[in-house]
Amino acid sequence: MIKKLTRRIIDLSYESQEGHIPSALSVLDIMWVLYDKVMKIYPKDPDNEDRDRFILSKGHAALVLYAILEEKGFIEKITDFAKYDSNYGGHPDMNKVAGVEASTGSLGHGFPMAVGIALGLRIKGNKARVYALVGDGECNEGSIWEAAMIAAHHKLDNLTCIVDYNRSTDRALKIDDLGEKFKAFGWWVNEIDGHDQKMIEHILKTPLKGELYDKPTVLICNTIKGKGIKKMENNPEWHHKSPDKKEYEEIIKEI
Amino acid sequence: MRAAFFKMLEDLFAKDDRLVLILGDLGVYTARNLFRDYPDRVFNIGICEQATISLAAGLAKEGFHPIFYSIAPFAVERCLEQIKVDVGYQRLPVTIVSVGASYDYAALGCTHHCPADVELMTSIPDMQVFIPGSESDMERFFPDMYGYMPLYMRLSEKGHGLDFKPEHASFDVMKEGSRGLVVAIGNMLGVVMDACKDIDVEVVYITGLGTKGHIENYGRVAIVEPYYEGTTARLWNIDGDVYSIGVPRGFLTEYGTTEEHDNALALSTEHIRVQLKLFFND
Repeated sequence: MIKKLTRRIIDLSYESQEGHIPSALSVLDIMWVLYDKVMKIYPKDPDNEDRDRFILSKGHAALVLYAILEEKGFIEKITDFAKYDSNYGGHPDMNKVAGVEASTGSLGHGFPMAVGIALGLRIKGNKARVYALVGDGECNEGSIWEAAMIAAHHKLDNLTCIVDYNRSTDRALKIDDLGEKFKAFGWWVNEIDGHDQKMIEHILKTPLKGELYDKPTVLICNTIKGKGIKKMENNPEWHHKSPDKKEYEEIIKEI
Repeated sequence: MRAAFFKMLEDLFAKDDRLVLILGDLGVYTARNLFRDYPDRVFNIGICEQATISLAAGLAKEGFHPIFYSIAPFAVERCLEQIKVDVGYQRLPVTIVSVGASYDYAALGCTHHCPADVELMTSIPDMQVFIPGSESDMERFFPDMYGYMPLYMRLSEKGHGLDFKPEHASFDVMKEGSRGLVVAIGNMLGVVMDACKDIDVEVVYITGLGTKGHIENYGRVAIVEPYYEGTTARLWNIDGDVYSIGVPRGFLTEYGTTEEHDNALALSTEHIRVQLKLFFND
């Protein structure tokens, strides 16, 4: 499945000459496990009150969200990614795409919105969980830490933050031990290989210790930006670049 | 208007179980009854305005009607991008209520002033902007305004001081006259009515900027606004002879009282009377 979704991400980007491929591949394993094994989803009833909520706070990884929503049947086959009148832009729009919970793109917005959603679910007595996926670069934003404080203070144990720690931001601002930082902010911390699907599933399906201690949970996932395509892996040149015909053919062969 | 706002909320909370109040560590004592009666829907979320606006958007996404209350520069300028994207672009019914207006916290200086708020909020498409000039304006219109679309309500320390209950959200005719039109916005109505006592102009009162009505039918129009001068004329893109009276554009570097600022900025009744007499050649 990962190869199929990788191919889909590459195809969408190649056809439109748009999208952030490495950012999408960085979180593909995590998101597939979430949608396939962990979250309660209702593809034909995407606003079902009982659904678990997923917020792609690092919205520039939209390609992977679209590929998974398509695979799971939330949306029809995408033919117009990033075209002028498409529903499927370079960043996801909750008012256009079924299954998208927040219109993200500006970093540091989706995660605090997820905290609000978790708080709203708590007020309603709704037992659904909220998963927010943030980037390590996104953790440069102050609003991430504002939201982290709020979530811990209000004991939002229905919230899981997943950090895509591909260290792409190290060149700008080293944030070092993110787990220690979240721990200091009052979160229950787990750190794993973000491409080990079995481990991701195990951690997310095991009753979270954060719940036992009335804490929100953070999963620091060590990842490789551009995972699976050698020329893209940890190569900043590819951050917002689509393959030309020759590169596309090489990539398809590699997949 | 602050105390009246929280009193009004007590009534609204009793009727609307989707209301959520979020304070940025301000107004906590005034809201004490709400904290006591609705502990699951009233939060002192802390001094973190950017995350708070996004959080309010999340609550709205779950069907709630969140109201975020803070001093204007923190409720508006500190978190403008969050308001633009999370509230405005997502079309979520978050209400932002500010106090402090342009320079109500005169003695605290520039950091607590916000004469740009209305210009910034009206730059966000579909944001409703409500500028009540009195407690009765707020009580009359706010209950029907919140909970549908993004809403910004600007509270002032001082109301217009008139015993007037508006029939409409905008364009109440307060005085007839022939030399032109004066548009009084929000709490500027009081000084405008005083200033225009012996000037032969029509005065209309508005609390929202959603429509400019038929003001271009008047030969000469003056707009008296409680925020940066020219904000309303620019928003309405008015052709013709318009004179804007408001807070001059520039940092306010003094302290003291609002009255001292009114005098220094030519916004006292007498200053406005002289400006309008000259403009209307009356």
